[in-house]
Amino acid sequence: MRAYAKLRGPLLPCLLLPLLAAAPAHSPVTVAKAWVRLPAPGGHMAALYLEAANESDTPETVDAVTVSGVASAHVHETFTDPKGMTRMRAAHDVAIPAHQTLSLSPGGFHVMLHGLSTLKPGQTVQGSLRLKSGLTVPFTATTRSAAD
Amino acid sequence: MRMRQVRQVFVTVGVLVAITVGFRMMQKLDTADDVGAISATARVRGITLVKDDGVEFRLDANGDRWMILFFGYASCPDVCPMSLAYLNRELTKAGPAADTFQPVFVSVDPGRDSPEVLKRYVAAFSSRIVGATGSPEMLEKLAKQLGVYYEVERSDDGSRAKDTASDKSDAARTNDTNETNDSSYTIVHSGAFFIVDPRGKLIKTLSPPQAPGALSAIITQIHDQNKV
Repeated sequence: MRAYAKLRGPLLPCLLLPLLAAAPAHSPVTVAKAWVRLPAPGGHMAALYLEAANESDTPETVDAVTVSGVASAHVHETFTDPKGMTRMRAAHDVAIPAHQTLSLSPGGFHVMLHGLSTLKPGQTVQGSLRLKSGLTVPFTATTRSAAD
Repeated sequence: MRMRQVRQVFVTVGVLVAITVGFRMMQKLDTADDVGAISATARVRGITLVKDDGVEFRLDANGDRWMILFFGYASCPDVCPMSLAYLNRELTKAGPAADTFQPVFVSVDPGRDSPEVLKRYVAAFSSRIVGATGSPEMLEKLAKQLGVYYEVERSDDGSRAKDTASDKSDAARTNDTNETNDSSYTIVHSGAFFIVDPRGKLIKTLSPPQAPGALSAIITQIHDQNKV
């Protein structure tokens, strides 16, 4: 009995650890409103849009976005240059500030998808948002026609 | 005394009618000023493109129809689909007034966007929009006339791999997109709509971000001021 009392201190966390690991972890970053604009016939590129909300006190940074069934996925930003021309550039280290929402939307940040297999509007694709903190947030995106 | 008063009333009414009629005539003749012309000199001249049905298309001999030009390319992932979807919504919103206009999607990527490709591409957005493209020389000439800028960007980080436009004006730097057929490049281009009158004169440029209702308001205004 005395031996048990001696071991109880270090043993208790060990016994509880598997229980904690099994509990569903609440991700501080959630993804919503994910959708893919399918390329129009003749087009090659699709674009993924979503909203990533960071509910934590810690800023997060996007490392990469992966989407199943595509050859490549790159975060890009559309912007207007001083001459009024619309340009696109690769967007690295896009931040999701604490308690804010990053919006990837038409005419701004988006994920360029190359080589998306033939899909119809209304279908879904699986993807994940990988953050530099090591967190990975899975999401499901609904496909829409190019004209949406 | 009474006759004098009656004469004064007639003269006043006559002057008011004359002013109103004169103002309406000026409005009709000079639509450009009313919708905010951006340039008194920009004009499309001697431009022949190929429409998506393979037929040649003179941009400055378009009957009595106005044109709404948008420059882009079919492989454009974000701005072009967004803009063509916007164009379709605005044409629908404008109703019958939109029949005064011929919307044209001008591809600055003739190497990849053949008339056949363009036909399928624009049909996904609206049956009213015509796809058109042309030789690099013709596209460059059109770009210069309207002050449009476009160029190929090859690398993923947006840097230019090739710039043949160093000896050209800023207004129309272009690359020969006809010499390659790979899909690894994007094209920098204007995101604006160009409103051109039937004689080829540039009347207005609607730059991004285009608000809902902005283009349909222009369409309606021009239609109302020019209806017979």
